[in-house]
Amino acid sequence: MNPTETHLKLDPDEVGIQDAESLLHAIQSDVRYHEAIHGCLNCGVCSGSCPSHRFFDYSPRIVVQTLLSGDAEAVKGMMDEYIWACAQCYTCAMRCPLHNSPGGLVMIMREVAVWRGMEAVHRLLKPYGRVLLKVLSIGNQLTPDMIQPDFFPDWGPKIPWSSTDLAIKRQAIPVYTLQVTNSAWRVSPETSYELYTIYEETGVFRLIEQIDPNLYEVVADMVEELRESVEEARAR
Amino acid sequence: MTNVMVVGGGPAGLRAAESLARFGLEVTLVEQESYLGGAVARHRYQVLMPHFDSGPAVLDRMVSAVAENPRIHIRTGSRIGQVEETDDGFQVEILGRETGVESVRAVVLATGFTHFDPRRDTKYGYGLFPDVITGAELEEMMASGPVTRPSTGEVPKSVAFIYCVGSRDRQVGNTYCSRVCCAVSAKQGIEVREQLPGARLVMFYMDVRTYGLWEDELYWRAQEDAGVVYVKGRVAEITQRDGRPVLKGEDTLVRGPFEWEFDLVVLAAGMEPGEATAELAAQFGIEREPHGFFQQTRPMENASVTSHPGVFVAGAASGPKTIEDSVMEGEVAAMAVLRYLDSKVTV
Repeated sequence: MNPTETHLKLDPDEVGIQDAESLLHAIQSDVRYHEAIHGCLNCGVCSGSCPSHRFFDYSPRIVVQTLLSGDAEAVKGMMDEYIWACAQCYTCAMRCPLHNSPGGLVMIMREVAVWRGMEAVHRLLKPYGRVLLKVLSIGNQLTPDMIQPDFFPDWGPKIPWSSTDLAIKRQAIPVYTLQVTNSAWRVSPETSYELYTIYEETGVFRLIEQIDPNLYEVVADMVEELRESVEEARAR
Repeated sequence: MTNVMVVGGGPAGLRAAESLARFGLEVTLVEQESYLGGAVARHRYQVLMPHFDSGPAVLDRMVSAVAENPRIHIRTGSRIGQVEETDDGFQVEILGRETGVESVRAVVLATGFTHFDPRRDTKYGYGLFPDVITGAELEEMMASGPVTRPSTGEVPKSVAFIYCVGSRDRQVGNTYCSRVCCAVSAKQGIEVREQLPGARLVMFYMDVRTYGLWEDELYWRAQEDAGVVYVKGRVAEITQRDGRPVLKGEDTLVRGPFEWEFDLVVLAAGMEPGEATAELAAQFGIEREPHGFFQQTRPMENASVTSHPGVFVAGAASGPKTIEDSVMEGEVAAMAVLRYLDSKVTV
């Protein structure tokens, strides 16, 4: 394999291309694909193990069988809603007698769905706007100030305590970079600057522009501001 | 007098020893346990698949044929030590009550198998939940009394059989089919039904491999005569609720996800190479096949030929096998030894 090849062939020019055959091709040409699918005996140990299968119209076995069938339209149909019920717990992969990883296949399908800006992604990723913004701005996913009871209605009685007096509690952590509440650890402006360059070069910003123009506007302002201040600092 | 060594005193080894002795050879039969009969004796099989023969009767016939033959020298409680090749055979050290070195012209390895230990596949909770037992343990239970729940001693109202435990599964490192468990489970279902007329009996399978004549004699009979229900789905995990095993999985053909309680769960644990297989292969200089069993190098000609002249294999030591096939291979190995010795004399 070409060492410069990325694990997923994310070609910026492919953002928005959504015909079924090209989606299936993108999934099957992922280098992880052949590690994640070998054959299938229809034994059902994956779906039997699957927490989502108990409660949703979702079966890891059907994901594997549909991919093996090569039916591109059916695969595309799954990418709309079906595969998003997977909790990515990978119990299926732990149990499959053939060492398939249905969870891994779902991950590939989701990445392709996001990359191609499928309609489902707009809908399904909406609740993750805050997370997305954090990832884009500083590379963190969840930060302490995001962990608030309002966003986690299923918290038990004890955990909300940890969301109070955050600043003081964070100061108690002996690792220097962790004494912040609006990021998971202290991120330097130079780090964000490099991150933005990577997002730009790899087409992530183009993707965001395509799937969430409002978010992109916020991000674009943020990027511009940070770049100016870093470049000014460098010039001094 | 020509001396041949047979290693392993199960059905294959007993048959090989008996036949070789009848053809006039002196046979040393080495068995690591203190008794003869292999797995049949170890688990006290009462009823044998596929023809419902009496296990004790078959065992008695096999063992007495060997024990009563003056040309067969039985060395129980013994293992193989150093092996040296000589011009006309092997010098084999026997370790045991009477340690010594035997000079033999040929060797038949009939060392059998061990059952897969389901503790290695933690999803079944074997060793943790008392009412989850193996098929071999069910045989032992039926040999000593009625079928009961180990946890309470009560008569079970429902029994589940889980197929392919330790077989056909990369997760546990065994990618082969153990060949007999489907049919043995069907046999056990039929037997259990006789004891438990009202019980719910369910087989959980990936595929049902009741080859050839076993199809109607075991698989159909289990359903039609014994009212055993077959559910296609590999059980994903066993937990316990109120002291009863709970089986979770997917009925892949009909009902989707299930979570069903059973009083007793029987794991059809597959076959693995016997513990000494790797060591014996090294001692006698023979190849093993990719799953770890002794390699049959020319199976199209003779099932017992290995990669080393003068060393032969019989029974489950070369792969999962029924008792009757093991007996047959014991006979085959005896014939192969004769041909081998004959060719050495005449060539």
